[in-house]
Amino acid sequence: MRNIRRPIRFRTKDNMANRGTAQRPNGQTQGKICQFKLVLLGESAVGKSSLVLRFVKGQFHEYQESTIGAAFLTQTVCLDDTTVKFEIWDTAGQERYHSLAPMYYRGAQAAIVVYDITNQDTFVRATTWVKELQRQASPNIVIALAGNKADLANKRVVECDEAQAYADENGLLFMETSAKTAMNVNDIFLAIAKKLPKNEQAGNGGSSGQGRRLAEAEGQKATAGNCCK
Amino acid sequence: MEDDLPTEYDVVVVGTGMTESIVAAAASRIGKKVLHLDSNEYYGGLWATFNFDGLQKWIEDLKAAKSDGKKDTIIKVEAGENFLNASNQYSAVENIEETWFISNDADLPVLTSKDTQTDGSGDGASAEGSEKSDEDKVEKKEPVKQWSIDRIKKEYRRFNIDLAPKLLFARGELVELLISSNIARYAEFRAVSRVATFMDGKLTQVPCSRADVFANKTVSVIEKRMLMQLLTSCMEQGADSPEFDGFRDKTFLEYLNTKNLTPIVKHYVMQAIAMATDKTSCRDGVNRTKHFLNSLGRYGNTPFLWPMYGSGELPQCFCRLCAVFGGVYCLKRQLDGVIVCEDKCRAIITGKQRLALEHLVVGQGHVPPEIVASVGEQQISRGIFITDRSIMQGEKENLTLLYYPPEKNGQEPVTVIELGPSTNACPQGLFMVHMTCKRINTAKDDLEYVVKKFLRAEVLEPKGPRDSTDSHTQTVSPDKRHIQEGDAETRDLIKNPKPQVLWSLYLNLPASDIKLSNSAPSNIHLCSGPDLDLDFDFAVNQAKEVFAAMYPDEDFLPRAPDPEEIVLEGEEAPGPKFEGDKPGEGEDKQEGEEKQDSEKAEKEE
Repeated sequence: MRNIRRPIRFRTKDNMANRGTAQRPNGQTQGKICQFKLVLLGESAVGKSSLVLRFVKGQFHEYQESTIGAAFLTQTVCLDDTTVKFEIWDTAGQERYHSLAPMYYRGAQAAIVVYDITNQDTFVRATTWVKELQRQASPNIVIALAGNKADLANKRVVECDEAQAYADENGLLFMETSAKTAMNVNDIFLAIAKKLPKNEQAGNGGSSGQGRRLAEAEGQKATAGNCCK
Repeated sequence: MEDDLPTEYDVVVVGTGMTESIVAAAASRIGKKVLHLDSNEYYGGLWATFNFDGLQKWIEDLKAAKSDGKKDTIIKVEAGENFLNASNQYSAVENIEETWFISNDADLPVLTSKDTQTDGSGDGASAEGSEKSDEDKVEKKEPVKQWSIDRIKKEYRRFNIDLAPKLLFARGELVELLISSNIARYAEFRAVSRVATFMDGKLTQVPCSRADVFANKTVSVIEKRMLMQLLTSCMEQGADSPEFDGFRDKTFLEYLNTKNLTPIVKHYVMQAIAMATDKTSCRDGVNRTKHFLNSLGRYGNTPFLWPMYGSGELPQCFCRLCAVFGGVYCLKRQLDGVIVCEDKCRAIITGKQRLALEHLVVGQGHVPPEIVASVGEQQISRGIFITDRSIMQGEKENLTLLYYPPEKNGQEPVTVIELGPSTNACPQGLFMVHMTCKRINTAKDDLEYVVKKFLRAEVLEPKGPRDSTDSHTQTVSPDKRHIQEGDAETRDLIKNPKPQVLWSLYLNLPASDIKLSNSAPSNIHLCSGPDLDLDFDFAVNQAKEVFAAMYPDEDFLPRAPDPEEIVLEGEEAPGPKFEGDKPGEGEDKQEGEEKQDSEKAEKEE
């Protein structure tokens, strides 16, 4: 178990003008922008937060404090003609005593269920998270299984074939990943992005349940069903 | 099975109701170490929202809990310490009465089964027997597949059923708090699309906005002006305005009576906008009118919002913020008791662990009886109905609020909220109706007059079991019988038949007015359960008070950062954006590694 934890500090950026828009550094505009909510699941210490931080910030810390202050992180992936913006939700430690709130899964279009290839229990637990998602989450959710800590292959106890077979049976995407070496981290998110439906309805402005989000700026009448982030 | 928890906290919060959850979030947000427990396996306590299956289990568990008495825990304490057992006696749910109005198999005759629990009202006769199918209805329902008990149970996930359904005023305390704290991004809402009122024997939509008022065909131009004038004076001047000087000890109705309003305008103001009875004081009436008008025009057509997936989502949003800032969450973990020394609570006992704390925030369902001074008399009567159509058919799906004032003495005004599938309260083709009022007798008795008025619940039929030959006529008779009388209400019924109730649940909940005794330890803070108000303001204000008592100099839920604002330690600027490029080009990976290396270097310095 991790016992040394580095806190993540946050600060407020001065310029907030770019909030909520996917941008490319070269200023090129994209045809379509789809926003999706993606949730991470898995036992404590399998590397959920590390995967996200590797993907979003390109960083890895051996002793990573989970996610103090981070409600969720965002990252965009560009496919051929579409920009996919992921809103990535971490468990915030609520899974530790099996107390994850159902609101966590609400409207999630994608999930990554993570286990640690050096720990059999975490794989067993991952299969129960998959069942939980199939029971609780929206029926069309795209689920990916990630066997993390692939850099520790010498301590491997969960065979790749075993996990692949399980994933195939259950229609899951599957990759072994390493947040430490960055192996397959971007790839698994990219694979999810490709599998997500990118029609008009899906991911329209990040309002997953097609309800309304409340925001500061909004003062005037708006049509019901619009997201006003 | 019990997991060991860390043993020292600044704040331990017991119960995941609305008030408790807001306090937990506020304490965690300013860096306090928070532990949040709930003895249930779900969030929200009496504020919870369940799917159909979860609700059934909740009912089962209440039955089981009633039969096995809670054993007091005996704990060794140190000198000078006192152990007080926690109690669940202040969260008792009573008079649960669940009824099906449809059969297990849609092709079989409709059976009414009854599942009466606890001190049920004992009117078994009308409903016990089997009732024959409503063939008439089957024909009317055209190609739509019939709803059966099996089908509802099978689609249990598509239901979100609230124990304490509440709305948010668009400029109410909770909306402002959700926005200012940035917790709003965890939740989604729907605007209530219409406020209805019962007038001249039928339901009508109340014009809320200026545009609605002018588009309305039932009020004349003079009445429109009258209404706008009155609303403006309430809005701009408030209850302290000299306009209301003469009415300080009078009722709102008495005030309105002096304004020469037409009956329609008076009705709108009294029953839909102020939601007042003839006993409501002028001050309350003006304040309510102001509150209503204030919230207009922000979101949608009415001043109200409803949380998607139900009111029970909102405590969970605050819990998530608490967790995001480091709060520890543990469900299925009961408070056994508290350890008190002199006038302070030192620790709690839970699952054989002793957890030290600075402050204990406790929901009313867990308070040790020794520190309770008085238990309020107020209780809530609730009725929940799954129906097959809206109480007021419209062109599109509506989310409706209806305030129905008492018809005679001995009745309480009833708040009706009707939710459609787009709120995720129920599957397509169904509606969920929530009724709430102050308890007088049992929930079923208290709500009966409103259920009769707007819904078609077989249980209310005067006749018992029917045979197939006369079922056809009987089915339609309640409508046809009165045609001759020709009143508006009956004519309307033929055009728009009342919604058929498929399933109903009645229950009585405790309302929140427990007071702690003066001798209670000063670091124990009580949180109430759901109250009778339409909105959440009571809970938000109570949470603010509790927080101010604990940390008088600290900010209450300052804005949490957005994802874009989160910058990692040692990181000068946000990391390189992964722009996905084409898979297989592999450049991004390398970039990431370079970044990592440069950071390592930074740290080593």
